[in-house]
Amino acid sequence: MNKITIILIALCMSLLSLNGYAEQSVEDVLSKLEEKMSDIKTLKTGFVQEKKLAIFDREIILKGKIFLKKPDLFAWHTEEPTRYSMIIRDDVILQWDEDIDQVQKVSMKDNPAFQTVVGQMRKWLSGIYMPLLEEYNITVLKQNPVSLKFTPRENTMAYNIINYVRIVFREDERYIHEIYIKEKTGDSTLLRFNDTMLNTPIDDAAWEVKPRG
Amino acid sequence: MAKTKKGIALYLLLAGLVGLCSTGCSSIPFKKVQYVSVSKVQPTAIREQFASTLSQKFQVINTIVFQYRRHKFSAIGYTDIDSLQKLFKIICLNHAGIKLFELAGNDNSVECKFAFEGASFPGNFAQAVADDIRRIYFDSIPGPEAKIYKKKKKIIFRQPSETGVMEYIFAGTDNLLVEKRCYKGWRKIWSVFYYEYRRKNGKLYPSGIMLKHHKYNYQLTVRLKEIQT
Repeated sequence: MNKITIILIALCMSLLSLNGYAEQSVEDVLSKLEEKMSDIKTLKTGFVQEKKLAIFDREIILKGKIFLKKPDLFAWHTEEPTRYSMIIRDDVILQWDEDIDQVQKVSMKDNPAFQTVVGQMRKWLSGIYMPLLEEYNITVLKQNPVSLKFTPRENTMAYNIINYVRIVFREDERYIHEIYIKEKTGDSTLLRFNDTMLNTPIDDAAWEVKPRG
Repeated sequence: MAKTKKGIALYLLLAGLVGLCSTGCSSIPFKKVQYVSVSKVQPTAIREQFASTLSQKFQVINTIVFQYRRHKFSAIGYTDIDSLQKLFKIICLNHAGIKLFELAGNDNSVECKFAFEGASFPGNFAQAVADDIRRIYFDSIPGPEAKIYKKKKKIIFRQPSETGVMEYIFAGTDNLLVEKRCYKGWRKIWSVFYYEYRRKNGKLYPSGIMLKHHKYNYQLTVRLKEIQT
């Protein structure tokens, strides 16, 4: 067996093994991700939301922080272009923004619109995507780190609004690096996470809807 | 009237999406106009000077607070204005970046391009929003036919309009448009107040706007965040 034959065989074997990895089923990839994210008890992360609206020339940028504490605490604080806080505890939402400067309390039970919004938000941030197989065709775009594409199935609510959602995981695949949503209207939203910290203590101020001072 | 009441219902439904709250009495969150004597001011020169500093085509990012009786809600608005062609586009987002609605219109009509599916907007909400945008951004210069009333510290231009009578009040250290109001007979229907003008590329933009609809008792407070020319 000459050297060229050996190299060719080695090349074929490596290609076959790569192909096998790429063809890992979506379910396998999702369950691997769920397993990696299952031990997350707390999350604190910065975010930058870049919104491209079809009718405007420039991107709109929102910046802020997100906090999560399992099982039932979630906080979203927008810092730019305006200060806003939303704290969700069970099915109660507390909101504050600098213009109104008052704390508002909303029950999700009495507010289906809000329930939808919060449900969507939680869905994409959770990293638990197996249940989404009913609503979306999910494809693995890339491995190491995983990148997923969610295309809404026909006859779902999302089908009328969303073209696709693309999610890229961090290098260690323990949390999301970015979420990109392409809408049917031509608008798009890119939500990038920065300074993400998992399972670290969260300051009580994170759960205060009205900022101190 | 029924249409406008439905417009108010829109705001209340939107409030359902972004929250409801109780409020005390409203106050002006902007620097008050400093009234000075206009004895040496030439009214027609003021009108021309103001017209030359108004941008006819621009995009602005605002925060908007709607207040109706004890209810308030706020949102982020992205507005594209062409006051010469009388065209506008507006997108309203909540503070978490979720799009609530998108409208495009002109002086007479409006088209709803998008409305958040979870909220059941009344059929004519677009008309109510469009009317307020026109009140704030269109027809900001009194016409040459306007009668001029020179008071001690303000100059008033008064002219007939389709809906009644329009008054334009110029005042302050720079003699800028500080109020625009619409009357029907003797009754004041609505007023728009402009505060804290900001200059960009030689053009003026009010940093604060308040629209008061006296007839239907609601108020909009618009805070300028960014100008995109």
